[in-house]
Amino acid sequence: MPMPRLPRRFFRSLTAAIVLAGALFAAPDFALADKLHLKDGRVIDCTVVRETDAFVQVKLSVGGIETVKIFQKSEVTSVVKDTPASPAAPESPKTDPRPDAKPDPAAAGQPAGDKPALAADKPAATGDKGNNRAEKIAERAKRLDGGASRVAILNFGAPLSWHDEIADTVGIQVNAAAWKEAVKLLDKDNVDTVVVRINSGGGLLLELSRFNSLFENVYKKKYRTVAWIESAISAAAMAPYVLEEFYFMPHGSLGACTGFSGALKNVEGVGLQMVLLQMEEASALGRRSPAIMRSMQIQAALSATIDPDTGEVTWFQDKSGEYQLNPPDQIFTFTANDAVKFKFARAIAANKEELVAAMGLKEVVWAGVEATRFIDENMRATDRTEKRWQIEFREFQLYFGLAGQTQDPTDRGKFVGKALAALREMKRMFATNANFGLMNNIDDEWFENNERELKKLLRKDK
Amino acid sequence: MKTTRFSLVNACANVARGCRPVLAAVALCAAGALPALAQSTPAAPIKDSAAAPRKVILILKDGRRVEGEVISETDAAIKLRVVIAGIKGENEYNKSDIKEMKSADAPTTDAPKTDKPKTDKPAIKPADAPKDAPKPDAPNTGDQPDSSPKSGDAPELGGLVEEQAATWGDQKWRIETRAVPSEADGPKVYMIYMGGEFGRDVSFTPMREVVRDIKKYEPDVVVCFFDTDFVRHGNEMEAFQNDASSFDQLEIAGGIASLLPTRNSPAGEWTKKPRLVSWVRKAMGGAAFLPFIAPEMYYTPDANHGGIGNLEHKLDGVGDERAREKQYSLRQARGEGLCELGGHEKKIMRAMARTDYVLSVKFVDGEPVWYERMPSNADEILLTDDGKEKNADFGVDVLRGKGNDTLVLDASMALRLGLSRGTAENLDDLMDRMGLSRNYVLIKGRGHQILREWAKKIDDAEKQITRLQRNLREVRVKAPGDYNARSRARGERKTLLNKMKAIFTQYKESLNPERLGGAENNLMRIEIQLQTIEAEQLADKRER
Repeated sequence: MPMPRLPRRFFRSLTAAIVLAGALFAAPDFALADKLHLKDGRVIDCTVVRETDAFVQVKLSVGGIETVKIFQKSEVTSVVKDTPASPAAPESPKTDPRPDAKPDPAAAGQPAGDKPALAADKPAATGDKGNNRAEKIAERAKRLDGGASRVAILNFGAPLSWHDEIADTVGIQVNAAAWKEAVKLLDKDNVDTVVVRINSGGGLLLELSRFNSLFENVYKKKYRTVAWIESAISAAAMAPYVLEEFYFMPHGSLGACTGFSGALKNVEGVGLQMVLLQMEEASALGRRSPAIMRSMQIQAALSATIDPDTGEVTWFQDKSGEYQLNPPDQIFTFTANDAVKFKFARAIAANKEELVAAMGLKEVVWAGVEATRFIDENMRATDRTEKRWQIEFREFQLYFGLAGQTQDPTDRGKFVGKALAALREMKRMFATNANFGLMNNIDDEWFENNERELKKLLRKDK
Repeated sequence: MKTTRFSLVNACANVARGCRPVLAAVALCAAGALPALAQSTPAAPIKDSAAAPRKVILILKDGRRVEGEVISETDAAIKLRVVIAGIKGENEYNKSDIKEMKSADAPTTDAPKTDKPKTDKPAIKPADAPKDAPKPDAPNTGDQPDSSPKSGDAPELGGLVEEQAATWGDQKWRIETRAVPSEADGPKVYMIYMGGEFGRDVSFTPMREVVRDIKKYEPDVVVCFFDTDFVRHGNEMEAFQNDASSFDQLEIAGGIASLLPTRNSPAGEWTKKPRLVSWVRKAMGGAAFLPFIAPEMYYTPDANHGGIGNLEHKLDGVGDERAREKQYSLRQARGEGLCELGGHEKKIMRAMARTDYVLSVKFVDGEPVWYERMPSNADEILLTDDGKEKNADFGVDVLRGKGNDTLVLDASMALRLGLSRGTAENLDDLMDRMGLSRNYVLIKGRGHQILREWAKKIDDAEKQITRLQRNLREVRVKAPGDYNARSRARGERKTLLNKMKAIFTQYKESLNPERLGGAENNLMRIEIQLQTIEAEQLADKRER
């Protein structure tokens, strides 16, 4: 039976992508004083962020860009630390990674100073460092523009109003490379506030770290960046999770972040631990309790208590809270009313006017039109390319097969020519977005091998 | 006269069904539409009609909330004219059983009607309507349009709409109205009849056209009447069944929701944003999601709403449990999102969707208080149990619609839960409940026609595809069978394939995948076949 659109979209989280994924949260300054000795002989200068029985997470510089990578312990010979306490990424909540573990309820309710991940649950903590920075940026821009905020809305996935015009896969249509490019256009128009309007059913886990890093290190530093949720499912919830300010549309939903591949096969083992860890860090940067995202990723109970006097929300990774949000055997997804009630989101906004009012903006200039258009066009173009990719891939397979079967050298030449043309077209597309290859397990090596094979076929007749 | 003829049909239909003939006649004569029938009707059970009856809301000590018109009142008791599950009647309540009595303070409906002269004209002219009177049934959202009488568009409007009635089949009596085009000048009402199979006959593309049509008229109210068949891909289902695959139609519901005047409609999309009303008769399976998007919901007395249960078994046997739970969670949340869009309690949607969800309710001052557990006190009512072991519904219960593993709403429960604002058997009833009873105008739109035309196009498209597939199979290389003949045959096949491709592309949202295979899969197969033909052509050679 054909797969209807909704479920098919969710079959796209690939294990391969997870293995490639690594957090990319760059700290402003760090010394690469530790050394990681790998079994392949390499010695990597790095800063060890975390070490567990299964993996070592390190911060290192790749081509001058600060990057966080995870190495499985099986790859590592030894870890030599220069200092016992390297300046690390934001402290992650100490949650037992076992799916069936019973986390410490008290830990989930620690004050903001002890547990940054919980800070956003407390109204008093929401206006701290991150927001002050954003507010300063917004203030500066307001001065330039006679007091009005310059707000751009960028579509993270095609809004519902596009009516299925294109697909909305994170990593394909919604890709971090385009969002990085859009920064120039936002700056060109003196944008001070960016609304990330999310409507996507998820995508490749590979893309999470790219988006997390881009939002944390670029967008949050430059603009007041808020997420406006229409539907943020799976990777579409995880990618912008480092943002601190969330708003929901009235029918909005966010969650269901379980990683899987193929016919609903869970991501397990190290792959699961890595993505849990990654989202713990994203929770910390987004100033949210890690318990929330964990219940979205694995079957874990989630409850909360709202202090009647202060309105402060305390989260529990079990059923001990006053309000039961997720039973222990289910996966959690927020809807709008609860998101606001439990201070996960700041407000519900049905349209952009309501949104800016909820954001407290008195005067607004809708700006960044070029950036908005660029992102929209990129999604459309990528969608066309994705469809074209499948056609070229089939064309390649067809003519490659015919070239191998035919006994006629002239025909073989024609078929090889067709196969090569398809291969080159695919290669061109692959260069624009390597994630296309993940759909068919294609990488650089695959291109090299097949080019070699086609040349061999041609030589056969000489 | 058109007016009379349709009213007569209405009355006859009511009598024929044995449905409250007296009251139906009262409604008709009140409108002055059918004097002869009104005169021959036994006296209506309405007294003291010269004065507008007082409407009150009683909050009873057992939690029930009763609204009605006061017939008489003593120190010990109060007698009300009430409507329960669409049936009007009189009930007396001991004052000792009443916790609180509030004034409903609403414009009355039936009583003044009986007082009016019985002419061919509307009983109440627009000027008589209490325009400024508060309407208790109307939502106080602050963004509702002014429902005061509008003028203009006279040629486009009709009190009785023959063309529409014709398309409503055996439900046409529901939309008859007592308003007369030349005189009625009240709020304009656009009705959409959502019948047939949801996702096939009611889908995004025709609904986009319907909404374009609605916008032309700038109505004050858009009523979506849900009377869909409980059918999935042509397979009829029984009212007691659950279709967990309905959740795959959420995107259709979401797409249609994005067209209608909901809370989400961007500023400026509607010149005048109308009130959106859902009126539910049968919304089972995929259609069950859509009524929730309207802030105002009403039900017919024989309504059924649900049939989306067993979500947590939708993917049984596929993959791993955690990944399956993810799929359930995101679907459930999207369904609940549509519920919240209309401002309704999402627990109702959850109880409709999951068998393992336990929901009880009690009524405090007539308002529901929810408990996600089995009842623990006598005043709590179990809506759905966990459906496990001894709680699993038995066959007979299921067949009688008495099961409680998943929630299927009828008119009375929807009303009690506060989801429904009232029970209305026909359009006049509905307008009464909405406080628009006197002078509304039913717009003669093309909505029904558009949906029916679409349904016909889908039927035709499926037949055409079947014919093209047969023709494709029958393409043969004709004599002499040479290169040219082979090329011609390939050309024929390409032409047929391209025709199929065009049809699948145009109608893919509605074509029956069980009859034809999924449209996307078909499109992919066609592409592969076209590519293969190209390759064959490339490999072929002229004879020497």
